[in-house]
Amino acid sequence: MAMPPAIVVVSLLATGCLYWIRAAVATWPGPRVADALPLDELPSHDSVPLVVYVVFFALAGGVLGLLARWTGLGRLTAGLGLALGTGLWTFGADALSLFIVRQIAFSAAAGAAARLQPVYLSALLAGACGVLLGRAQLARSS
Amino acid sequence: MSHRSAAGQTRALGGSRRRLLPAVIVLVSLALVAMGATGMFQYIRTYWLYRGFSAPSLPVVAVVHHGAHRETVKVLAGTEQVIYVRSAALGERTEAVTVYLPPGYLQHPAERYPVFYMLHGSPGAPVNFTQILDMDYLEDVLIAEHLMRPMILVAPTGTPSVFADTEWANSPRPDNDWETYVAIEVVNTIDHRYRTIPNGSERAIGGLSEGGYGALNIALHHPGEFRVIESWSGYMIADPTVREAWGGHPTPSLLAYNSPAILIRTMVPTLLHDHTFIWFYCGLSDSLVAENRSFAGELTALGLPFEFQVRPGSHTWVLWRAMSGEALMAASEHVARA
Repeated sequence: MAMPPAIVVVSLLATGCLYWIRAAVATWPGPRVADALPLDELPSHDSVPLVVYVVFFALAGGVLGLLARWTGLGRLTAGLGLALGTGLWTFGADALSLFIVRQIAFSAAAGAAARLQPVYLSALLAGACGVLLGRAQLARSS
Repeated sequence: MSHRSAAGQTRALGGSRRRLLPAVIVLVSLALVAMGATGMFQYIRTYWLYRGFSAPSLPVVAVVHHGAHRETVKVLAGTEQVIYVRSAALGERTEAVTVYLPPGYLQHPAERYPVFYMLHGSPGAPVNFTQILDMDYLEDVLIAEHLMRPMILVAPTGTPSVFADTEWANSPRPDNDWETYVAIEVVNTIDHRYRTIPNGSERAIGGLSEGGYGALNIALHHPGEFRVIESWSGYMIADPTVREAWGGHPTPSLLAYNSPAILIRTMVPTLLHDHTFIWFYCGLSDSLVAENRSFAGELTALGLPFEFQVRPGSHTWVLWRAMSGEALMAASEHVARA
């Protein structure tokens, strides 16, 4: 029961960190994650460097993975649960953001959100952290 | 003794390190939480209010060109007011209306002004026109530069809640007659409270996205009430999926009546008689561009006066901001032109 609100809060904090640091890393070279801050539609404002995105969402995934371990979730459950939960939350938040800024129907915004990189990247990172940090399933001896 | 002392020191150092590590982790975590929370607060606030643009500010001076000669003039500020209109069409609900009085309105009590009614999109609010599009300050600058006549700007609310979608239309559902609210109740209230020129030839109506559709739909249903109609990235065919506006099973006649592209075919003599002018644009990458182009073709075939532009951009505030000065000047230029 603690995991869904934790996913929401931790993902929001990670996005807040991205916004906070966005200006400082605006000119960094290398690949970028488009629409990492989807409420911003100004040209080149909505993306952040991939490395920055990975750092903050890996940190977020780490926190969620530790929480999953603390609540006794196994690796598989933690990995799948965190990937699905984080992906769904990011998808919902991005769809709402696009709905607000683009003034389009919610179904169109949801369709556009389903094509955004952050939805899948955040899910991948959270899932990986869940697998790494979830409790190992010990084989029972007979 | 010295060995024991050294071992003790090492243990003490290790112990303090072990105590230090959790403290560092807690501090770093707290810093990240504070950073994330303040960042998220700023992120949502900035984009909800200003869509990422900087907060509006009035330039002190503007430059007026007289041929090769340039003159710097002081920009005078107008006055923004929020009034509340009680509406019978909306079941006696009271809705906020933002009114912008041009510079000079308060100083010249004998002067009367044309009015530009501006309809927001969905989701949206009247403040979008001042906080995101800066249309109040833009009007001040354009007046200082002698590029437009002073006009009263009026932005009514077109939704009972942030995410409700009314299409600015009269709904089959009771107490949801948004079109009547705008075209009759708001217009009458504004004409009553302010020194307007209370004549359709001195009124313009426009809006962005859903507001552009609403402006066309309202103006066609109330011929002669608005001389200029502006649609900024709007659409011209009613969207039957909007249940809040049309109910669960809208009839084809209801949708046709609320589709400006269809209705306008029956209104050519009236629109020509009233000297109605339609000014509209759409972004090149907007999914609505084909519908807008088709509407422009229809207007050409019908022989109605209009101006249509396709500009680089999509269905975004970037385009609407870039075009808001032209929208003001077009409204100013075409009211009472005939």
